[in-house]
Amino acid sequence: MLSAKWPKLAPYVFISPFFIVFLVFGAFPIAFSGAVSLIDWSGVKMGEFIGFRNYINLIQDPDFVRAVLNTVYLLLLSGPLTIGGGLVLAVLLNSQLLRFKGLFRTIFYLPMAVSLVVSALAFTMLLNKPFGLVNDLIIRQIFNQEPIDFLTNPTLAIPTLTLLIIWRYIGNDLVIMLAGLQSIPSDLYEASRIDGASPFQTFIHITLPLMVPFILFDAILTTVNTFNLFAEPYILFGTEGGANQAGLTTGLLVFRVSFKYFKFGYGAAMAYLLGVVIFALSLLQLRVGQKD
Amino acid sequence: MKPQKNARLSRRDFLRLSAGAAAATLLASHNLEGAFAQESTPIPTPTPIPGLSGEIVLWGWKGGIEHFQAAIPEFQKLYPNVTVRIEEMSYEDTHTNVLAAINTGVGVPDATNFDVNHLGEFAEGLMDLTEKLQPYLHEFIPVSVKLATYKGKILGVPQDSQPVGMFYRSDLFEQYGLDAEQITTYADLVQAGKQVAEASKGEVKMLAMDVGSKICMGDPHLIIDLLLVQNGLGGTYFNREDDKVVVDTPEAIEAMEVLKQLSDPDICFLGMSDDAAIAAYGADKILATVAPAWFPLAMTGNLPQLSGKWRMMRLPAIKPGGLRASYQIPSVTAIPKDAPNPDAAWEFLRIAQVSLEGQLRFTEATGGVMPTWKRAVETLVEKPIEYFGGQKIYALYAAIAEEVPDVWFGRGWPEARSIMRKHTETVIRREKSPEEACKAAAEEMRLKLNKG
Amino acid sequence: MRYQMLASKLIIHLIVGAGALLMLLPLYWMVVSAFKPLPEIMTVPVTFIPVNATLENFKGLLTETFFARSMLNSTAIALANVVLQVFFCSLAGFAFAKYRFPGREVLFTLVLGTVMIPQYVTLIPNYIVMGRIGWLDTWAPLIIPGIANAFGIFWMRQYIATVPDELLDAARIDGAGEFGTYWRIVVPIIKPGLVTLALFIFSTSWNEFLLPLVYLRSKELYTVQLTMANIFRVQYKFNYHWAMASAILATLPMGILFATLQKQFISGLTLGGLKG
Repeated sequence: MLSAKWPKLAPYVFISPFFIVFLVFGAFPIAFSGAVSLIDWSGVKMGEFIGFRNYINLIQDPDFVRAVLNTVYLLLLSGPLTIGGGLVLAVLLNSQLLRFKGLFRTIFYLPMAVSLVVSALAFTMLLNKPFGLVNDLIIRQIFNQEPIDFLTNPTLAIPTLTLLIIWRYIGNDLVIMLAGLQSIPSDLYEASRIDGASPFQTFIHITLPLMVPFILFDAILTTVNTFNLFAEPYILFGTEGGANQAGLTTGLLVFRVSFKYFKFGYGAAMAYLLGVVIFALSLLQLRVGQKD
Repeated sequence: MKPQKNARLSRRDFLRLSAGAAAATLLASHNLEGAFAQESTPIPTPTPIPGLSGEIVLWGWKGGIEHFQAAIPEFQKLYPNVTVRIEEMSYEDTHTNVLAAINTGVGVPDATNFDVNHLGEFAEGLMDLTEKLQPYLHEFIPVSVKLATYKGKILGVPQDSQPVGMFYRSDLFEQYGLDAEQITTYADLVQAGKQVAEASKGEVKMLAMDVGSKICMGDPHLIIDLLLVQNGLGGTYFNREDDKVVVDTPEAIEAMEVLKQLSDPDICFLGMSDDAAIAAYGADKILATVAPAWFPLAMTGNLPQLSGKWRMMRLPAIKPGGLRASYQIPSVTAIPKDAPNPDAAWEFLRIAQVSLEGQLRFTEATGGVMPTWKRAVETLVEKPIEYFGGQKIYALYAAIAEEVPDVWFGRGWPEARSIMRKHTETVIRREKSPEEACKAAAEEMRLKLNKG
Repeated sequence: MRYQMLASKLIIHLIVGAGALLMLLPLYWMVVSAFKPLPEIMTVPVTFIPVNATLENFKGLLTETFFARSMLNSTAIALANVVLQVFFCSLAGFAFAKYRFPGREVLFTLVLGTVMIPQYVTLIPNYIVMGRIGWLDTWAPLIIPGIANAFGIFWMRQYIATVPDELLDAARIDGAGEFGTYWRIVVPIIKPGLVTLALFIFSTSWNEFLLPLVYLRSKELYTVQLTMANIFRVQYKFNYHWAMASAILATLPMGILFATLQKQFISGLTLGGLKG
């Protein structure tokens, strides 16, 4: 540890840029939005103070309930797949048995390098009903089935979104999991191997417990990101969330209410309430993780 | 993960952002010179305001700003000290930016385009143009002025006109032994659709609708809107007198009943994506579609191979002898209250849009979007349109525009439409009866929009 | 045992290989579509390899749109973000990792807590702030608010924690000073970590959409994502051919960066890890 003299101040100076920027572009807007959420502000006219009425209306709003349920469904579907998939992939990519590691890693990271505009385009092209690759070549030509309406069938909305999310973000999970695996001392594996444990047993008894902090970190990140998710459902389904609002997520609804209906007060209340939901879910995950 | 906007265009974008690229045009040779030579009722030429200077900033999307660009030379002859900057944004961003600007008072443009269904939302921040437009009102198509009026004030300069008719495939009508003349009500249309379905064993259908919210030529929300207007509800969801929600009135329920019949899977492809719909049109599987005045451009742009096969007719009526005209959302150009240079902005608009020349430039630049200046429309009505087998579709559109009753958009309309769409879907999926859906929609509108 | 080994090897390669193929499928489809003329893109049955391969899509894109200019703009913005964020995040990460000072834990928790703020909460107020300080239609809002961010600080703190204290003490005894210690001792050691962070920052900045959308108005200032979105919007028809061509060109810089820096990127992950 450093312990010079001016340096009592040094760390504060070093971290000050973050806090200055945060005060101006983070804390102030948050406070401002908090105030706005108590106002009946629709369109141009800033209305009167209405206390918590926006919040009360919110929990009775069928769209809001729908969006939260959709998002939770999405989280439950895509979360385990991306986190679990990321972990399994990381273990496989770390395996002594695998060759071309660099190549494989690059491939899995590749979609992260692709912008959302691009990835959404690629997916709509791929899943397009008459002339998408999946529909025409795989489903029609190879399996001789009717084309599937990935993008407009309500029951497929969230699963289709999940496909896109896995494709685009599994690289993120992989990064976190690989970093986690690196932190496990190799002598533990060695010991396990000498004890005659199978790779699967090693995974369950050595890898998994030691990876808990990373899985948790990833889970929290995924939760936050899912509730903030906007671009993907927007590109696939539009602001209405597609047929029967099956693709309406919370991020989409906040955007729609704020920037399509221009109900800033209501939108701010929604953003605030979602912030609380996200925070609560994150805490819950931490709790559950610590119990193990 | 950062939020993003739609990379895919919405239906409106796609149709409105037509533009100078002239990817599609209805008018093979629209001659401006000839139009100017026409006899014209004199409009008092206003004296230029002395001493105007500075800059004016105009916002709009492609397809709505080319005529601004073209008007700059004429404007600067009168006002050499005023520079004009045109900021092009996408259709959706324009609305978001307008609202942000007039809300915050920051970066406010001197004039901006927007779709008139946002009028109620923007009204507080817009300049009252009633007095300035007074001398020119007789030159505009009446319905376009009505739409630009909110609570008795004219808040925008009408840009395009969007009467709604119906397109049908004359070749296929013939093949299936149908006569467009005989289809005068929606019941007739449904009957004809059944005939087609039977003859083609369900392969070919009269209509297509996309139950989802993607771009489709038959988005159900578009259809319910125009049915409501047709059935006498000029404010679609609201009442003019007291701004009350009217979507649970008998007229609205009746309109919804028609939509239910039209969305019968026997006569209508449901849940067809745009690409699928375009492919189906190309494969001669769809016979007809409702068609606002922008729609011919979408047709020529996407389905050039069908040239000569389409014809246009009026919408069927809801009841025998009923109204066979409806109207869709057009755009206006407005001057915000906080505009830095409102006088120069008005002078610019006067030249660019409140004039025959300006509106002709608009139609020219968009490849044939209908203008709102009567005499500009007159230059179009006699033109036979090749894509429609030489039919003078502008004449029909112009006639429809004249018959459209009082129409307007009230406060909260964009959200009301979203609510309406949601409940309309329940009818199309046959989960609710038209009456139940209308009542549920009305209830939700009242709750969310604080309306009676 | 040997057979068992071989079998596991095979299974692992099969699983990972199949996964990799699925990852590549959308990209493959995008690439081949970019070389097809529009009618071929919209044809059923699909052509797995372009029948009438063409470069016209690229030519049209580069000559008829702002695309080339936007690529330069995005590069400039991304580089500014990389330089500033890498510097400020590593500096703050250094402070959190190697100093013991009152309030450290609280402040670090606060930093991490900012991750949980939904973006929508800050959007409108920030627009007002930017307007007041005259930053509308400039690149500043795309750069300044993010100069120090939670992820970068967290990442650098974890990374710098692995730097042995003895090195720092030795530097201090040599009179390197606080900043000197950071600049001359810490920075060289953590280079792989910096490269990894730089890649993340570049990618985030390059792909950002909402902020440029809200703040930029002049086409000359547009980022590549904005221009792409506009390319699809301006035209009358469905321009899948231009869209796909622009998608490839817009992905190229990131692809090249990942490919060339991949070694350092991986070692950045490996050496630092997320210990602590």
